Amino acid sequence: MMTDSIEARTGEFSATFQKITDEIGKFIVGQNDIIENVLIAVCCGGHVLLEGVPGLGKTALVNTMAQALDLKFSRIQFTPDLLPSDVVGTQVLQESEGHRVLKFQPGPVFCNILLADEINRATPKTQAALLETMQEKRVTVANETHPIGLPFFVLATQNPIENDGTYPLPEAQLDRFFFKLTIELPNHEDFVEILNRTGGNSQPKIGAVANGGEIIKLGETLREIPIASEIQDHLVRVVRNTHPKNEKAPPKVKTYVRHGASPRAAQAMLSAARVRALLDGRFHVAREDVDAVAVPAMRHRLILSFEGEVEGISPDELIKSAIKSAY
Amino acid sequence: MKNEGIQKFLNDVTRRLNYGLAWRVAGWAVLVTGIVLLGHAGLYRINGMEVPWGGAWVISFYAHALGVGVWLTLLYNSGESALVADKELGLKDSLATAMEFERKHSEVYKLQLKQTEKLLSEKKAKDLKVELPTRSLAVGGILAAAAILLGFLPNSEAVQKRLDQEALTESRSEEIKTKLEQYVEEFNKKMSADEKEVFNSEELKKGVKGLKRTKDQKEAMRQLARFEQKVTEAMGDMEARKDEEAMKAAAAELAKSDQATARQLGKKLQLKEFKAAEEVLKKFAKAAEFKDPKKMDPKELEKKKEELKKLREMTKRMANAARKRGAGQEKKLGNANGKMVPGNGKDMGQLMDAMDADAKGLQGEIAKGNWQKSDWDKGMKFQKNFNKNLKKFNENLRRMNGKNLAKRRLANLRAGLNKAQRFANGQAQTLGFSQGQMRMKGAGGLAPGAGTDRSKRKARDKAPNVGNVASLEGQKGAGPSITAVEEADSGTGISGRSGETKAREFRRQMESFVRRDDVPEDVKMGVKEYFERVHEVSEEK
Repeated sequence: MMTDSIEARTGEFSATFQKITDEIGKFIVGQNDIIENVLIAVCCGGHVLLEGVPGLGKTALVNTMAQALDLKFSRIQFTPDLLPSDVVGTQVLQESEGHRVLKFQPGPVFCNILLADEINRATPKTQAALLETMQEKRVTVANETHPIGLPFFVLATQNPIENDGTYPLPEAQLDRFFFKLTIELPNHEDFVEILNRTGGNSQPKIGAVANGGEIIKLGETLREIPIASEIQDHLVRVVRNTHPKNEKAPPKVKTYVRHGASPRAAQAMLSAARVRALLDGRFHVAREDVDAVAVPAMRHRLILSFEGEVEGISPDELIKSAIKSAY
Repeated sequence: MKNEGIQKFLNDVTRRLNYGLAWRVAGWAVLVTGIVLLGHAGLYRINGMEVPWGGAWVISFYAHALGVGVWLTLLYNSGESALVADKELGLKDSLATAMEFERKHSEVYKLQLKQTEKLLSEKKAKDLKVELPTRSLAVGGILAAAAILLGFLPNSEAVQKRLDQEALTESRSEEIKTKLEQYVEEFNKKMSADEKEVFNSEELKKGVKGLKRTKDQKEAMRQLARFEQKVTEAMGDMEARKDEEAMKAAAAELAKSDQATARQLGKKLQLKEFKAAEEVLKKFAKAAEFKDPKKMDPKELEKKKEELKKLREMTKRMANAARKRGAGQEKKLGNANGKMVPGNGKDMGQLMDAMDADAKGLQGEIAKGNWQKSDWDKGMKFQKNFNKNLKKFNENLRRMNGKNLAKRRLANLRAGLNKAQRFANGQAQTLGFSQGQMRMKGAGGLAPGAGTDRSKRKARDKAPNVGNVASLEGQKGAGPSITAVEEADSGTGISGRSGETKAREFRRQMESFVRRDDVPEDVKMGVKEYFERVHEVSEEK
């Protein structure tokens, strides 16, 4: 039970968030938006899908964050021959007091931060096993349920250019990710800085600045931030405008979208907008918070129509037009 | 509890926004007024017409009233003002959220209000920009000025001419109606008892009342044509051709008589002086009237016998004339043109025949010289029947007299209507409408059969082309149907319909001709007069 005043807790929230960001920033150069959005998803208890070409620091970011948060970290390199038991664990035969018994051997998902590297290279069966765990936060093997300790976050990566031998995640499973973040190539100055930091013998040392309990507390604090009905209406309008059947949807959406974002997207946007409000030092959510989180929260939830696919329409563009027509 | 600081700021913002809105709406109102005024003026000018200023005032008034209405409809309320202030002053929805949270008491809401209040202390409602709509005001003003300039231009020559013509037609249609009302009133007053018995002038009054003041010359002409048709129909009802023909035949027969009185009667009948003829007949009958022959002086009896002989000679001639016309004609002439005078069961030919039979019977009884009661009763019966038939004959003469007079008056009225039509379409400058003779001099040309090679036009003259060949339409359903097919093999072999059909055909052609717009009014009048004369029972024949 929280006894501190809300003012104190919101202050603590911003301070903790800033500490973690600073600590990660010691190793990761640039990518401030990505770091902020990953931390927003972590605060909200959501999973993140990171997409980017190889070598942009996706895995490094997740590693660094795990170190900064003092949480149990696991990594699974997804390959086509990876089995569900390799992910969630399996029962093995063990000798115990003269008897041979089957004992559950937990898989790598039993951690706080799981890096699912190149998630789209595993077979759908293995992907499904992981995604079920992400949703339920527990594993059932041989009729025995094993809860996963909280907090539990999955940070999955995927490479958008090597499509041979990959199994794209189905829409229903994509919906389980809180954010989908696209990592872009760093600018010139950041490039130079990356070389400077990683080219020498010594590397920056990352210390733990927060633990699991603090992360859970951050999640509780952010849920106390109110949202005015006018702003909430705006949020709903944005989400509904991604649906082609909605009368007020922009023409682009009507042409290029087959299915719009789900209510789960609205939930994610609300939580993320609250975090942004707190980070801005406000005690209320503003429309600009909603607009800022709309793209990462919905870009993986839009299903494009045939025309959209053929013309290579970016979901980000469609979401921006939906935001515009919500005003 | 409401936060006063936030509320005051919000009120200031609302006032500021409504002030800006008023300017925007005023700009649009001026622009719209300018466009509509110019459109209004342009529309009139394209048609060559002077721009009516009344319309411009109405447009300006409605545009501004609409502007005020739009402004009142679009006025900002607190919620809308908060949203605008949040956006324009960069308050990040603080104000809109504070408005919603101001009645809540949780700690986080209080913190939000406090934070908003602090934020607002750094802002002012005047920071919201109010842009004057200078462009729309200027454009609207220029357009309105252009419209006003167009408004000073006068009507074009053609339009002015048309408007003058419309005004003239309107005043003339009014004048015609007034004159016609006076005429019909006078008509009614001057009608004799005989005329009143046979003619009801109420229909005429209704017809005049139905004439409406109009600017449209064609409509004025149509109204007059419709009224004229009614008058023509009324004239048709006044026809007693069969009886007139009978009287004419009787007159011709009486003219052959040796007796001066019979010839005098014949002359009166020939001249259609039916009233005078009635007097002569009465006098004649009185002279030949017998009382009880036993009480009569022999000299007086002889004189009466002589008078009866004369009367008998006269009735015989009249009856002969009636018989000469042929019994077969009676059936044939039982149509609208020669219909029987209403009021008794016999026509004039039959009455003359009956009177002669009675006179003959009476003469026979007198000649017997037997004054026994039974014989004399027989004689008295003849005399009584004769008097009864004579009374009917005289009644018919009175009716014919009434009809003749009414017909003459109606003909005068119709001639007046022709003048009115000429007046209405500008062919005459004065109406010249009075109870006097209104027939045009020489209208209708010479009488039928009196042909001439006299021509008023030169052979090479072209027909006057007035450019307007549109024909006025007749009364729908008023004309006769000529769709009936007559079967030659059926019936008696004698058909009266072919003659009727031909008459209708001529009538239709004549009516169609006189309704044409391109035929001068005096020519129409002439044609009408001619055809009517053809159908009249002329004196010359």
